[in-house]
Amino acid sequence: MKKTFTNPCRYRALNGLVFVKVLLILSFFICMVAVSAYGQATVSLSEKNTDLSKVLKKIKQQTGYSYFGPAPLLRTAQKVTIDVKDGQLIDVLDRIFQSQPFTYMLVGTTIVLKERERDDPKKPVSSQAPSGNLDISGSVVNEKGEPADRVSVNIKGTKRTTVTDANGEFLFKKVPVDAVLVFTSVNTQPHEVNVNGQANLAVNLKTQVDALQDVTLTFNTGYQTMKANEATGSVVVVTKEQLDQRVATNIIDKLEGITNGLVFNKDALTGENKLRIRGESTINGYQSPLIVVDGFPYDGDINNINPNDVENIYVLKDAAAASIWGVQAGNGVIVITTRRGKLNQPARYEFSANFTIADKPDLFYAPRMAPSEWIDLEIDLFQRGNYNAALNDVNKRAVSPVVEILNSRKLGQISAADSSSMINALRSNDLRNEMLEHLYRKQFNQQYQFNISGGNNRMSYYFSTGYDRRQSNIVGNNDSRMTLNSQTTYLLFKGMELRAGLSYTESNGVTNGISNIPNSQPYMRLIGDNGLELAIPQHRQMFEDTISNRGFPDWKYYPLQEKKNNDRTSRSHNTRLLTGLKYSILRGLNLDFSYQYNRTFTRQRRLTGANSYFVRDRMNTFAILNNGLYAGSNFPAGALLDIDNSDLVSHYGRLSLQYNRAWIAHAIAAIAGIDVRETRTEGSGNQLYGYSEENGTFATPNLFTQYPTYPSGSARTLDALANGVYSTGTINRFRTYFTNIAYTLKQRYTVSTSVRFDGTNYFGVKTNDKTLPLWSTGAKWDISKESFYRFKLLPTLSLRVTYGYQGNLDQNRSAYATIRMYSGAGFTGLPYAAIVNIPNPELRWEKTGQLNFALDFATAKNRISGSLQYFRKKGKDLIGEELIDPTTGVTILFGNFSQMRTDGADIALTIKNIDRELDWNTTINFNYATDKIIRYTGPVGGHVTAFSFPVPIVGKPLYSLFSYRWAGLDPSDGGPRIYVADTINKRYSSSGAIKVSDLEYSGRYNPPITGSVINHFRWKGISLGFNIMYKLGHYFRRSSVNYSALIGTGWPASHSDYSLRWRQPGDEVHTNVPSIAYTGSLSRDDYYRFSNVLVEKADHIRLQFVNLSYSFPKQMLRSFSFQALQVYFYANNLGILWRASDQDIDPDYPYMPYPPQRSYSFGIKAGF
Amino acid sequence: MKLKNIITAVFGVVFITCCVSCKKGWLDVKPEKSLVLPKTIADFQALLDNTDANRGAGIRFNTWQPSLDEVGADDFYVTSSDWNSSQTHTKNAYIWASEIFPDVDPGNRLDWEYPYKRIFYCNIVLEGLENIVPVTVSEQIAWKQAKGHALFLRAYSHYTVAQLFCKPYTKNQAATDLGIPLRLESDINIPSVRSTVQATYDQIIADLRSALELLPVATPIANNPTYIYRPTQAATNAMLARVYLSMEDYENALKYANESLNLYSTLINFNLFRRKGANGQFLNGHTYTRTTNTEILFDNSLIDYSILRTNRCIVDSSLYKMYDSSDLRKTMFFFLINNRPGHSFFGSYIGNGAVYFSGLATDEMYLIRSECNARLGNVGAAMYDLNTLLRNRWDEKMPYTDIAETDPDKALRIILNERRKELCFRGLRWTDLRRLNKDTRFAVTLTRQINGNTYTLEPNSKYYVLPFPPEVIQLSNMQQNPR
Repeated sequence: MKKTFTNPCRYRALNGLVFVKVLLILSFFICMVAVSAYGQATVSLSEKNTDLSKVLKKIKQQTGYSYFGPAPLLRTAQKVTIDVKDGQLIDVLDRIFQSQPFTYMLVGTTIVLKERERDDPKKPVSSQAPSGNLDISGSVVNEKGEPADRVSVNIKGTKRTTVTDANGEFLFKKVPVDAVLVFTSVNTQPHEVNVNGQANLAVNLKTQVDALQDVTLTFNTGYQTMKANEATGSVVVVTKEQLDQRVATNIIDKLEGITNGLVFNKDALTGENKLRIRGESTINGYQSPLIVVDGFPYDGDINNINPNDVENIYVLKDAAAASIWGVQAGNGVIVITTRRGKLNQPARYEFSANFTIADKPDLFYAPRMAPSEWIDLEIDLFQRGNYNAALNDVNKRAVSPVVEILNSRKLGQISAADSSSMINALRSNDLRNEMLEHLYRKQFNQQYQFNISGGNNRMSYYFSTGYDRRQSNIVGNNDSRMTLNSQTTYLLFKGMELRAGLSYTESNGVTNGISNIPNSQPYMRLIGDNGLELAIPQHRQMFEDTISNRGFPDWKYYPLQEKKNNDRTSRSHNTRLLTGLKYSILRGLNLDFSYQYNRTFTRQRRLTGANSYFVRDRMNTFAILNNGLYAGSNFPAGALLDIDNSDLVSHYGRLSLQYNRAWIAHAIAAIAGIDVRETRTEGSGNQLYGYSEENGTFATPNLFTQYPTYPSGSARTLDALANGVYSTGTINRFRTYFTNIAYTLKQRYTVSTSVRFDGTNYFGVKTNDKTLPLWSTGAKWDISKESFYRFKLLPTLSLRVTYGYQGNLDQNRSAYATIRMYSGAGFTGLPYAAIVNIPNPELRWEKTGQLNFALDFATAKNRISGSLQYFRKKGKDLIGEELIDPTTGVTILFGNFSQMRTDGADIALTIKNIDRELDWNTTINFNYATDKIIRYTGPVGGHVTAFSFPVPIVGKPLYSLFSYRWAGLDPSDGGPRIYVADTINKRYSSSGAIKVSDLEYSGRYNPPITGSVINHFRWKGISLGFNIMYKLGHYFRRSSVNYSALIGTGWPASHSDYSLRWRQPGDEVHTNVPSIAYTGSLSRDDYYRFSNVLVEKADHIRLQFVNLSYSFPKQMLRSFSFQALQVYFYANNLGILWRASDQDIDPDYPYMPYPPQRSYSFGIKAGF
Repeated sequence: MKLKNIITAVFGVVFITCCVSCKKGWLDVKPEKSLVLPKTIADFQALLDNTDANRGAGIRFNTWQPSLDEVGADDFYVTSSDWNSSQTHTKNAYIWASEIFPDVDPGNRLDWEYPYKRIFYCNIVLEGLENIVPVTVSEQIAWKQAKGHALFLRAYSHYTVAQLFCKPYTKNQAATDLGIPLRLESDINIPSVRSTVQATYDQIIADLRSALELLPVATPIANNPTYIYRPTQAATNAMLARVYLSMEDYENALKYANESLNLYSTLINFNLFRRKGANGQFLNGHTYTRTTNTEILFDNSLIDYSILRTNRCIVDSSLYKMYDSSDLRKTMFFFLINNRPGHSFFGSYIGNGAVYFSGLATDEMYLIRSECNARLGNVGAAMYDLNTLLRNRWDEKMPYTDIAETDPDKALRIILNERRKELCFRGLRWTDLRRLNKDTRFAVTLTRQINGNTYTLEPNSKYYVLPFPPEVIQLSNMQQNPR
């Protein structure tokens, strides 16, 4: 292995990239120029005996109106002579076509040539005999004037059918002159045409209004768009209209509750979304779905995408849909497509704005002891001597005010009466109220966006700019985002299309807020009666009060001032450039090259001010003493400045060959190509001590020397902050060959297959040499199109079966013995290293096989439509652990040892309850997924403590709850008891002594059943939607008293169950809360905390959001030159409608300090 | 059309660029800068320099030396309630139970895993260095330093395992007594087999002697802490002295202690380091640290099990009483915490209450040389060393009178008592008990009182040899120690 960072290959690759960048920038400017030329509808011509097609081309150049007509018709065209200056288009066309054997019609911005009507006196004489058969050629367009391909053309009353090709043209031989042709397609209204001896037909089809959305839309896998009815895979489409139902600054957040099969589990400890598509797929690998934006995996922060710029989202669920993404598709794929202009569409301007306000957080959500109750316990603990060690602490760390008062009383410094009155004065305080008043506020978000889109026949464009500002509910925390976006498509000449896009996002954040006050007590105050900001003691009161007399800097911590002492900001710039060239080599065969460049630069700057508590504390801790007086500090005076930079640069290139054609009975959609992708990240951090913001100077203390600390005298190094000085860098490279072929026979039978070979630099040479193929195959049968199918109740019915493999990467593993270098080893400061990978040449990607059955159906008039799906996923080579003899120096070996299986079903139903002036739709999403470990040989620990990390036990779900079997409280002392091997146990030995077989499996932590019900009403311009979400079949363990934590760390570890505790014999009949244990035995607490008596059902149904909007009628708007105007109101996080547990806990957030608050948004959208 | 040709050419160029850039080597770059395939001397040295206390990815060469021997020794006792809340295996080791390691909970095998993990690192280094031919003089020095370092650490680690998991060295039984598995290659597929006690000690001594040839003379000085983490000749000699002493080979122990002290013999006068309170009284503890304690030859510290923490373990009162009131160690080693039934150990030689120093230092060398001299009949030399040490421990305000014992037996008793007093909580007592119990003059029976039960450990009991962790037996089929 001689390959290092300076690989000559890299430069060659970069030279190519430089070239592409130049191309991209050029094309971008070309597009800008072209846009400005668009929009003229006047024509100047001076022609003499010119071919009609040449004249029409000139009109196209001048106006953007293209022409379209069957070739046989054009062959009959007469030469044109005309001289006109700035004539109106219609006038000019009328003049031109006056002398032609055919006429025209305007469809959108297309001039469609058509046969003159029969009674037209200028009708040319048909060359065909008036009776018998004739060969008919024709062209079909849709409402927008675009060629309508794959329209089936049937001779009424016969089985003879043909189909239009990609240009909307068809040729039908030997058609009876009096035949009636029926034009049908999935997304247009059936249309009948009497042949009446015409050999050339121009047919204009109307879009089916009530067409099933899933069926009418195309599917976008990120690689290609396919007709939905010819795709075998399972894809969920989320349209712009659906996305607009929700208000959010993050596009992914919008998907919750509206996307079938996309589950938002909540992390138990952070509350963060853990996205899952069809349950769990991996144990140690990357768990989130792949996010693709505009055809390429998105490496940056998804917050850089302005949700208003998103056109639609496709969620790829099964192997047939997702396996085209290969080793990254194991968890499913979310394909986001941003908005584009449309060809032949006049300029459209849109403006939107919304404001969201959310309540202050509910600091009383977490059940804690009442302050007065806590004071009583402190008094009790004091009398028992629990604070003696703390009162004698050599470090003089703080004790609570109550303990200070009690200690003063004990030392005889104050009277008993004073002591009790001082304590009683504290009882009515509640710090949470003060924090809500001074440290928290209502959250307020603003979003603005403006965009222009449009296009002529040669180009389309979309420009947008957006600005978002979020005021966090923590005072001092804000962020904002500015986005600029331009997407243009340009037809260079026939068959050659150029795409160019530029997106720029700048985000700024400030996080100076304080939400956590160390060493605070619930009865403390932040502001005194005199209005002065109070200190929260971090050391003994007396010590803090008097230390400055000895020359020490003030050692007090004032929470309300701290915000001003620090300045923590972050700024992020994201640039995304996209360019593409598409060239039609032959009919239906396109060569496509696209390239994307993405760069995100983030800089975090944290200035911990010279007057901040942090700096003052360090200076005092490392004080240099002279006869007991402060004589300077080993810790440099001045501010601390931490700067973290991270830079992400990715390049993607894709060259693909696409083939799409339809014949009478066949259709083929195929793609093959190569993907190359590189993502580099570089990070560095710097930390300056004794920094002066004014002069830019700093100190260079010795970070490896240990200095004595005050007051205890123990020695420590100065190195204080977490990140310090560092430099990191990663390079991820992928090279992929892919192909996907779908073939449809008679519009009824479709088979598809995809194969992909991935190579990455993750695993080292051995695995790369054996690039792993991931494949899938699928079949679809449109049963309802069979002639034998006569089931009128379900006029649309089709069946799909797919099978294939998706992959997953565990980026932390390598096949090589690798070491990781660190700088600055403890005490010596030398560089040092640790072995991070034990060599395992057999390591390979994880593979998940997935089988999918789907039934798509619709009743008459699409009254009820939807799909039923069943899937089975089997993770075969999942990376797991295996125990090996620790004498080797290694205890656990990683390898592809594990297996798991996930079974489930997805049901999506759309019901039209009322379809009149009042429109009422109901959408029901039902998703079921259960996972089970099939094979796992590694060690498993922490069964009872796990809830946010996997506990892989064979036969059980990945995220399981295990509990001690509760045996009630001991009637004699109220101690917790559990069953160990069927005998009551009260030995409180450490958790390791209790065997797994003595634990109860209490159920799964993640919900097996999830879904939503969305009702939508529309009456005139008023639209009302509300979304109900449900999660069923899972469990959580609620928190309760933990005496050792309570006594060890104080009130923040308290629980209101304290008041329910066992106090005297007999209490055990009505309570399970153990008696207090003053010496705080961890395992005694654990017996209760991890017992099944605290396991609660987590099933719940919540009203997630309501959306009410009003669209002003068009007539009203016209006078204000608006095209559309909508105002809306949106309310989110409305609350739980039902829960199985009788505890007042949100099962999504059982351990969070507070759940997301209710929020209300008002918005406006205008188009003109 | 001309443009068409241009476009076709552009596609062609792009395609070729793609193909060129996608040559094989393109996927061979390492995915992370800090990931390194170790191949240079510096890489291997870096593996041995892992002394970080916070981030070091599961290995630390300066801390986490096995400490169940200290748990089982008689320097301290704990209260029943503190015992109840300690980790299971430390509770078992404390009462010399027949089972030490519970059959679940991998966190409890550190006394086995850590030394073998260090040995694994050393073997990786030794094998890697075999593939490097140092050319320049500075490369040769670095290569020798790294190799000597790895050999030293491998011997040191094997030795710590041998003190817990195989019988003490007894000359006429060592060839048949079961030793510990010796791991001399990094290949994890090589099965572990038990050696004999003789082979175990032979390997330890062979590694140390090889290291001695390679390592520099450099002295551990306070301002260059590198050399208390990178072993020197002085440290290697000291380790050899320690090993030979445990084998009751007093001639060799004397030889190497002498060699070590010839290279480095600094002692700290405790009077310089005692702290004075506001009223001039002595305060507990030290102000010196790992890097300012100039007695340290090689730094290491014990696994900090909760049962060993300052706030749990109470100094055995008979040990505490052994110190003279003029002995500064009495106030510098021990202090009182409120509501504790006895004195607590201040925690060390390195100014840190949380970890107990267990490495090599000059004071141990003085004591070894003194003991060996006494045993070999050089009582005068023995007393000279002892007095040198004690003078540095005595309150300067209370004049120190040299001990002038001439009877070899009495002298030996005095020396062994001073050894106990100087080297308490250093992880050495268990080995001393195993060695000294063989001599009826010094044999002691240990007792513990926990939850109303009394536990005893007879001299030369089989319980002085701990059982292998059950998983080790399961996964390797090695023979278990009798319990």
